[in-house]
Amino acid sequence: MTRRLRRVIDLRELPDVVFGPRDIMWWGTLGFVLIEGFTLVLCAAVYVYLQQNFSTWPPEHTPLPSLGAPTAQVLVMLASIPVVIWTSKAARRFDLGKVRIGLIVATLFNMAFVGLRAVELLVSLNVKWDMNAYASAQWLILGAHATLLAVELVEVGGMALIFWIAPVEEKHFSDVTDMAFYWLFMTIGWLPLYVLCFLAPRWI
Amino acid sequence: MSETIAPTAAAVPLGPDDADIAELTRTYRSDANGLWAWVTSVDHKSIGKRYVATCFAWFLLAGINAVIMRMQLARPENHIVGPDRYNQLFTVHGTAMMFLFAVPVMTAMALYLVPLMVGTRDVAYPRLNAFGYWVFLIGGLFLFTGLYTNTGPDTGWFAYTPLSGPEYAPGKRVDVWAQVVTFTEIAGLVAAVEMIVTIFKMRAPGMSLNRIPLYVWSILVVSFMIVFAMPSVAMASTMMLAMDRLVATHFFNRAEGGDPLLWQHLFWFFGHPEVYIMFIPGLGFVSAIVETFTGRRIFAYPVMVLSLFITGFVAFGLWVHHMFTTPVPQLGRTLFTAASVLIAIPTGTQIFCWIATIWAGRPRYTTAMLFALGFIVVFTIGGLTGVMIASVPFDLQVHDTYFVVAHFHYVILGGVLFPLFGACYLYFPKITGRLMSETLGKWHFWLVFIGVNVTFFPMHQLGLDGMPRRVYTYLPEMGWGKLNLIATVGAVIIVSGVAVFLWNVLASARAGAIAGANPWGAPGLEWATSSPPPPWNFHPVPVVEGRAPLWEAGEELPVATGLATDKREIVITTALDAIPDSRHEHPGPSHWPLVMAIAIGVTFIGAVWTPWAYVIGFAMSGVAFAGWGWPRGTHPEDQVTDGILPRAEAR
Repeated sequence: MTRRLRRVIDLRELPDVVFGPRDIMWWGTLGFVLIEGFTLVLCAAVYVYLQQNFSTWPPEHTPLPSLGAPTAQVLVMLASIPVVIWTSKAARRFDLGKVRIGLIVATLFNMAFVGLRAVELLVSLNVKWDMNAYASAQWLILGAHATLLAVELVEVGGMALIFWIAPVEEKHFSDVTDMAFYWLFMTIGWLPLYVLCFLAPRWI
Repeated sequence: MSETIAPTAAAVPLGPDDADIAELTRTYRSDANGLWAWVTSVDHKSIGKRYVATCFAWFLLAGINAVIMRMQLARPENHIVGPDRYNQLFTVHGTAMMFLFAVPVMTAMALYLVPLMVGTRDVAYPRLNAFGYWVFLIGGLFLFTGLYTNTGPDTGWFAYTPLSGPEYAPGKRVDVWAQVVTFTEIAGLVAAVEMIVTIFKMRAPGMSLNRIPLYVWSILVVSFMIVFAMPSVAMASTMMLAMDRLVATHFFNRAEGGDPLLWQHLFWFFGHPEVYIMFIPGLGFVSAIVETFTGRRIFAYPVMVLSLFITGFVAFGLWVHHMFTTPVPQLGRTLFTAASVLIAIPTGTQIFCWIATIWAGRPRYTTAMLFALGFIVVFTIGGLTGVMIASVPFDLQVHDTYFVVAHFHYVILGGVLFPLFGACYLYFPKITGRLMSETLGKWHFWLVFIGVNVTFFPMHQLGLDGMPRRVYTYLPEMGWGKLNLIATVGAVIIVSGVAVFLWNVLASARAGAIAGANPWGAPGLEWATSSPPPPWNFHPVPVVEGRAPLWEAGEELPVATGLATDKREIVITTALDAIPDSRHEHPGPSHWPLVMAIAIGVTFIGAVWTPWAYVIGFAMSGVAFAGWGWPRGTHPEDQVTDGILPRAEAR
């Protein structure tokens, strides 16, 4: 470069650990929330589109889904939210002890989500995917959301392990708050799909 | 908006700091050597270069398919290939050109260029970037392995059901297609997220929204389009078509309440925005070329940016115009016709702005500029025929004929290939440090420009004469022989043009004239660093005080100092005004992105044969995930133990 350089800003004093939208990992999480959220919207659109091919929903000779495990799933998800928010707030204070506890509880919640999802698929739906288009659509929505639950279990479980046994750095606390952000999407985002998959067939 | 940046240090001249450069060299050096250093690299420039080269490799292979098809159609009742092979040839040609070349090559160029243009040291997530490339590579290898083992997809690049369903397409050919789409969509989506975050949060201090280069705007718009378009085809191919074929779901099976037309909706909800995803970066390239070679800022910058946004939005309201021959309600047809005509307006506006810029500037007719002008001609012809087929009665006549083949080749070659070739001439010096030959470049341009028109213009008439697309031969009585022969001659001219280009690239990379940092006198930040750039791109970080930083900087370039040199540190700025907000450390080289990509490869390739591949692949991905994310304890000074914060006082 032949130009002279003229210093106008000194970056030395800027923080190197920040939270929320100030952190680029939060933005990455937001990007994947958009992608996965829109995929779930499209799954719901497929469900509604296929419903128009039938005069009744579920189609004739197709049993209604059961409500027990799916409703329990929703309640467990709602119960998990305060725990995760509490963990996130502890992370913002760099409170290692509370974050460790919060991550263990969150992992247990996530394991419950995955277990309940298996029950929803194998028992509550009362249909196998190859029965008809209704059954395929139900499996599509529950299956797509199940991948979110499974991947999040790997993430939050891995994060709990890191916080308990690995060298934890300050930046990892910011990751915990991003995990909490994704958690809210994963759980609250399920509520309209619960209505669509388990309640709507009773109303249509 | 220069008042948004408050200087925090006195403006003092800085000399070159050899100690800093030596330390940065150590920081960015890989511990590995040779091939392993290349494999584990996470440098956006290294990834970008291999991405572009890989895309061009698929382009050449898919081009060979096209040449074989043109030879087959050169005269009636030809028998170079039979119908089964021909079906595979055109399907793989279309699939590769769309999914493995036109879209990803634009992404690949952006991965190289955008961090330089916004004045930062890498993309937002360097390891994710490497992962995206490896996934893309595996997808391309899978497609062409399929073709060369007689398992090439054969139901067209949009794989309509029920033709692609289990009843009419037994075997594994369509499964290969469905999983290739998955690979490319994963790669496209991760790159889109990287671009969005890089552009929003990593711009050089002072590069407020109204100072972002037009090419970077185009990439931002396209990245958002990818986020909302690609999930549709990824879901439809991986979770629906593949499942209909593998485990007997009934999404597209009419007998069990499914609907073949649902596939068309989901495919074209992606497929039509895909057209704009391909050529909007091309519009960005044309802006960069026109600005550089007229020596004048682009006329009506706000209008150009708004045009990109309007195109991006309206692109999602056009998909049904691919389905006018299906039973779509009349009102829907009218709406989609209106939208299809409407979208010509923002693109037309941009063309007028470029013409105004050239008019008011002092154009230098370099090869890059010729390709920009060629783009305007070829793309405008494609756009005009697009407006024609937006009309339902006309579309009903020419649907699935060679008129449509002519139309979309004009759009894609005009909108993608011409700007891309122009960008190659513009940025080759930045990437290699050497200039390409202008003499060979002009041969290249004229051969491609003439070849494209000789090949595709006669196809309009062939379509009006009733020649359907995707037929492997035709009878002499149809009268299509002469125009087909002309088209084949044109294809040979295009091939010779591409050969000249390849020769130019290879020869110039070895012995081209030394370029220097800014051989064209261009205004963007990418020209503020050396050619090729060092691994850290910039030191110190540039500060932006206007829309054309290098033209406005004069003899002194404003910079920001204070980033660490002993770690890969970048500055994070605010999304709107690009005010410095924090520092962030980037990761170093890693083999885990490759391991993760292999796990994903095992998953989706295995899923062609068994659904258990998803279980195995998930377990493998979990291992890769752990290896990727597990802390190495590289910064003991930052470790938190039992509630003790090592830097609490500083905070």
